[in-house]
Amino acid sequence: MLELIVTIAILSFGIVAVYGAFSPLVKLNNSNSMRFRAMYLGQEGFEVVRNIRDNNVIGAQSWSFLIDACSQGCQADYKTGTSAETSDNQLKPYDDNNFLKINSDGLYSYDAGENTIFKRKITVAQPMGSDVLKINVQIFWDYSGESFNYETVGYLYNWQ
Amino acid sequence: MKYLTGIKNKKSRGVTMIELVVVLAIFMIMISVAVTLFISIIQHQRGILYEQEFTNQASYVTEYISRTIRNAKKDILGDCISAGEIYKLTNYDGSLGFYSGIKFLTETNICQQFFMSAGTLNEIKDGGVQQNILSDKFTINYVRFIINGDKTLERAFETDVRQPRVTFVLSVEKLNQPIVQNNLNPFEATDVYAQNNNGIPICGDGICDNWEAIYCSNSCPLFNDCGVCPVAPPSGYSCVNNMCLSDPLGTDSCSPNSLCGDLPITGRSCTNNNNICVSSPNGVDNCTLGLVCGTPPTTGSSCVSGMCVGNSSGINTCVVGSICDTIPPQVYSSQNAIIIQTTVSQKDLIISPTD
Repeated sequence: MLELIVTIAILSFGIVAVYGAFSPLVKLNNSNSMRFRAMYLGQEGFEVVRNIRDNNVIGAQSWSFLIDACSQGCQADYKTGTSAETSDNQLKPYDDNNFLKINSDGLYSYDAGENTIFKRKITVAQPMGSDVLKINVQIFWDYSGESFNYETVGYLYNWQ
Repeated sequence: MKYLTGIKNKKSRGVTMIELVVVLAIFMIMISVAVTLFISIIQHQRGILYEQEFTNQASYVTEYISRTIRNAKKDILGDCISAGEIYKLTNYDGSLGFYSGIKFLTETNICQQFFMSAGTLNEIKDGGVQQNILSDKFTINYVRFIINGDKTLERAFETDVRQPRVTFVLSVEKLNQPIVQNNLNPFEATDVYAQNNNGIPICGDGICDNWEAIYCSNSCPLFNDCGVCPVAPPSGYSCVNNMCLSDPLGTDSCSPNSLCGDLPITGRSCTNNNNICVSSPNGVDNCTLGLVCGTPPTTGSSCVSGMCVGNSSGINTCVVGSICDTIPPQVYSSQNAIIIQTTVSQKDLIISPTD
């Protein structure tokens, strides 16, 4: 009986060890996949702000109109600042409880839809005078009990 | 002497039947656990490799498309799209209301088009040959291009007095939850082919599965991995790989090595062990073994067996309890798909700040 218990114990250790070694790989891979999506959502956040800046210039507004109010963080999506914008998509203060959703068109937005795991915070600062804006886009998500984030930083300049 | 005899008896005692059974039972359990774990690991490994490869390719494609769109310029002469246009969306899907293509003039004066066609993502440069830019082993749910956040906009002009913004979204099905294809042929759980955890066969995984070779274009019309489709055996011939081409009524499944015969007609018992009835001129529906085959639900009726007779496109599946309509729309969830989205604002201001 003793030999049997020892054998089973060794076998069990072997199985658990193999599974234990593989489990983090699966988790890491899923995390990478989410980071990949987060990267493009971050890029989108920056492009939306850049587009608003360009439209301010074209519309003879102050170049940083609306976006300079995002020093504490804002939320925006692909409809923000367009004719398709609704109250859900407006540039507004970041709400930590507001997840990006997949809307009925199958796109990430703040329209009604199924919550995704991602939240996007766009923070605008003026560290080098009034003609430069520092755009910081952070994507937050939770997965398997852990919190992750992806951050991208870029600068916008006054063309006027 | 007694002592020595005792030792001898003890050494030659061997094992009892009960001990043997117990040991075998425990080892069987251990082996079962180990095999289950390894199968699970292999399945996960496939998923990992799939996602890694997808990430590599999608990263390239997304960067490539984003950069090209960003650097687009106004078509002054109208050689590529209409004069004065910056972007023109193409490949409109009227049923869904989306454009799955975009055409524009690049900064190097190349007329370039990206679009989804037959389940693949393609590009055409200067009217040349269509080239696939994302491996067709990935099941693309949809590709959408949207101008200025408005899915109804088809073009971006300079006169819009708005800096064009293009949103590009690519949705690809996860390996372990493949897209639900319309017109799937029935298949049996005993068939030997790659299938996911839900028992759904996998198309487009780069592996020519046995079932794909047999069902071929019927089941995986876009993502068949076997190339040329073999011909299924006609009625009366031996059933090969659970597939018969039975008669003018259509295609049915069968037991391996049995002869392919006619299926039970409407009103007859479901007797062929394949849960298939030939019910009416409308086609084929599922049935439960031993029950009487009825008329399958038609368009507008409740789905009662996971099958609808939809429309001229043929037979489609449905969710039990739902109403059979024309081919049910594919429902995508962020849980089942990898959705990559990015937005690009055109590089150059359409109007100079000094104007």
